Amino acid sequence: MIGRLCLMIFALGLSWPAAAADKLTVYTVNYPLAYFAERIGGDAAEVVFPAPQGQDPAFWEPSPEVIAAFQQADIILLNGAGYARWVEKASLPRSRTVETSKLFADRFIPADTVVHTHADGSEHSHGGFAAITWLDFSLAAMQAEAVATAMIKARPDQADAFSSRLTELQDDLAELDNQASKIAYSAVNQDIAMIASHPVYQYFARAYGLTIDSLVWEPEDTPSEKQWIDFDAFRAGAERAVMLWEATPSQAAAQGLADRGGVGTVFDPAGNRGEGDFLERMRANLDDFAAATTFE
Amino acid sequence: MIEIRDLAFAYPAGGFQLRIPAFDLAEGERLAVVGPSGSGKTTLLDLISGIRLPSAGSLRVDGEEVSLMSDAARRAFRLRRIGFVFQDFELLDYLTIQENILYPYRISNALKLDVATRARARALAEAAGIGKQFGRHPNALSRGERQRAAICRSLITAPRLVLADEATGALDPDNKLRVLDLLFERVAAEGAALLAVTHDTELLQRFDRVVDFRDYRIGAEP
Amino acid sequence: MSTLYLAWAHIVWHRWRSAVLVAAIALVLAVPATIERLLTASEERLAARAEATPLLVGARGSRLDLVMNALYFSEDRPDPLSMAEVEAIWDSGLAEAIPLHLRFQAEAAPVVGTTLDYLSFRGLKTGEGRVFATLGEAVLGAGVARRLGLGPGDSLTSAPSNLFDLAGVYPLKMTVVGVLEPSGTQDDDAVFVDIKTAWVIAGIGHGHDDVVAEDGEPGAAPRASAAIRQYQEITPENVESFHFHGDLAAYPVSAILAVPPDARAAMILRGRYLDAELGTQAVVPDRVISELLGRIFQIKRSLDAAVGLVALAALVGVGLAVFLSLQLRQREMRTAFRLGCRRSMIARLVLAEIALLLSMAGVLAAGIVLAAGSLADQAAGWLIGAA
Repeated sequence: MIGRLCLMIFALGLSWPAAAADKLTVYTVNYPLAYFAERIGGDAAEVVFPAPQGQDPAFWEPSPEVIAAFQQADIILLNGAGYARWVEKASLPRSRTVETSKLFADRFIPADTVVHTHADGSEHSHGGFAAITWLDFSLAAMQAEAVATAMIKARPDQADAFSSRLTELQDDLAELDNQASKIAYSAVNQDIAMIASHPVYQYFARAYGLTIDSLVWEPEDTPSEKQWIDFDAFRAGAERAVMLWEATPSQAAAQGLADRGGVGTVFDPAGNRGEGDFLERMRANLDDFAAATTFE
Repeated sequence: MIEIRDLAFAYPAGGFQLRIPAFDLAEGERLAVVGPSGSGKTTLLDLISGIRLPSAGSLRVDGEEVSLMSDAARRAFRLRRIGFVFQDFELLDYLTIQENILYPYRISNALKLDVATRARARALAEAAGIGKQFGRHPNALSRGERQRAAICRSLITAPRLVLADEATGALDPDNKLRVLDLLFERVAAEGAALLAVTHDTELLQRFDRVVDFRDYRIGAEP
Repeated sequence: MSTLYLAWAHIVWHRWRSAVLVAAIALVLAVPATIERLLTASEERLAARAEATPLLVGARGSRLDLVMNALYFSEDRPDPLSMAEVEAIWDSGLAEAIPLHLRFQAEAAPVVGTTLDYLSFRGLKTGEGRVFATLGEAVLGAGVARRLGLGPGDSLTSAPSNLFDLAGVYPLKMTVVGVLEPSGTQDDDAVFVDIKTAWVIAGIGHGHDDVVAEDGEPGAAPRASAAIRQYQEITPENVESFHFHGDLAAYPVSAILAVPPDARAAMILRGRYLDAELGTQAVVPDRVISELLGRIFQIKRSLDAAVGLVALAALVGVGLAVFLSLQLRQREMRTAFRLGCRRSMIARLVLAEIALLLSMAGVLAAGIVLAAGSLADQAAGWLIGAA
């Protein structure tokens, strides 16, 4: 009897890889899309986001082997808006590649450009777009929908499950959207200069009616005098200054900010994996941001 | 060997006629038939070999009445019992001397070519003095050698009778005698009879008997 | 009776005459058979590929040029259309759209700029190495790899399309990363690259020595170094500096393979290209090739008639040879008859000789046809390429 049971368990164990092989393999270029795919796909999807932790996936260059793995995936999720420059030079099968921001391509925010001159004297610019689209949570919801659409196309038999999980995810994103709107509303009515350490909050700012000026500071560095002059220029005499760090700043930077009466808050764009899932990290961002913009 | 009685022959087209009241050739006899052209000498050879049939009378060769045989039997009879030597040798230039000698065996199913026959062909060639030319083609041989080869061919089937139609007519005087010597010698060695048509009078004294064919001719040969 | 022996002796004795006869008869037999075979092989290859390609979208113009270029990589150059058309087809949801950029050659093989979807669509798998992953990488058809003796890790260089085309077409040294399994189609004789690599060869995309990569200080436009050079090789070190100007949607495409999921989608898609005002057209390759084959078939019928006449002439020639042979061998016939064989013997000898000659000619002709057959695929490819 026990022998038979063992045999059965063994047989089940053997059949497991077969079931796993039927899973949708989904490769993504950033963590938010990986999170969406995991939420929507559930057990039906094997989601791979191969950028190593601690690197910004927007600037990461995968090896040919990793690109080959992308090429084999059932679904390849791109962020669009020029996010992850390697995509432009890589060969990905168009039939399995989904540009999740395609539906709102007309709403991309132009970024600062690089201009260079060719040997023949003609100038041209590398026009580009700000790419951290998901910090506008309504856009994130559209990207999630694009993920779900691709999954449904690949596995029509599981359309219902994907759809219902999409709805749950979109509910969560709507809640974030709502929360962000409320916080921004109260912040906007105060004389606060909002300054970002890097230009990553364009979509967040536009979505929630905020004005956020961007420096190009590395949070772990100690800002120079020159950089503080830039900071002061952006502050332009506002009563209060709130600095959005994309990562925990160095002691010196935090101290310098405090010395100027500024308030710092870490707003993690969550492009890569970190502690906690996307939702938790965004909630923490918003809570911290609310605290930083609330003055007695 | 040959026994002709009251034989009459006429070409279907008319004109030439031949009548032979009596004509005999004994076993092993060497007979020369002479006569001017058109006297019917060649017609006689054709009648004896069964190529032409008499319109009347009896013609027995080796004891058999030629006109009573079927076509196939006459061909087989010709092949086995009669050897032919022609004025122009009639060797085939695409065959070697060996194959020319064996030619009768190649053209009929009535004869079987075996090892013994091949050996006999070689022996005949050696005896005729053309052993060295055995593997050559006729165009590499002199006229005398060619006629020797033709004599070997006429004897390959061990015939009872050899018919020679102006066999020396195309040869120079020296060769004439030597070829005739060979013919006599070989025919005697095989124990065959020889009937030679010729108009070469100097050779006649060497035959056992001479028949002047003028006596039989009526009308003109076509 | 040794009819065959004597016939053979006669053939050998007249060996030169026999050889000429055998060769002539063999040619009369082999030439039409070979032409037939070549045409059939070409037709099959043309038709098989056309049937396997549901729809082709290209610039308005010669439909045949479009099909020959896109399906058989011929050197016909249909007008280009833009990458936007590819996106439009994808967005319509009516078909998968596979762009093809055919303009360049490398070591006398066409360089096919496309996407990975092309390889999946044609069922092409790598026998060695992997598919192209990034700019400058090439995958070789089995035939090209064999001909050039190249494999993964080797490189090959594109040739400028035109010696006088000095305006930006720089040879590009490409890295071979894979070799496809043989498919028995034109794909065996092509070099496959990402369409973006083809654009780099075309000089539309290019690299710079060192672009200032910083995203820019506030208010100040970042500058690029003036030292710009056109790369001839894309390496992991410089790949980052390669970029494409402007909107990729405006980039050129020779033709688009459209793969609709069903007949209905195909109908709708074709309907969209009916408007003569549009600069584009959709063609069904099978129909274009059927028309072409129809024309080839007509030509072939005239050819068949000509071949029939030649065969007839050859037959008359052989008849004459038989007649002359019988005439020449009258004497032999007479002698043989006198010696005691049938009168028909020489006729039988001549017939045996003809049978032998014909057999030899037949064997020779079969040899020629077989030899030509082993070249048929190549020749068919050549015929198609030259069409």
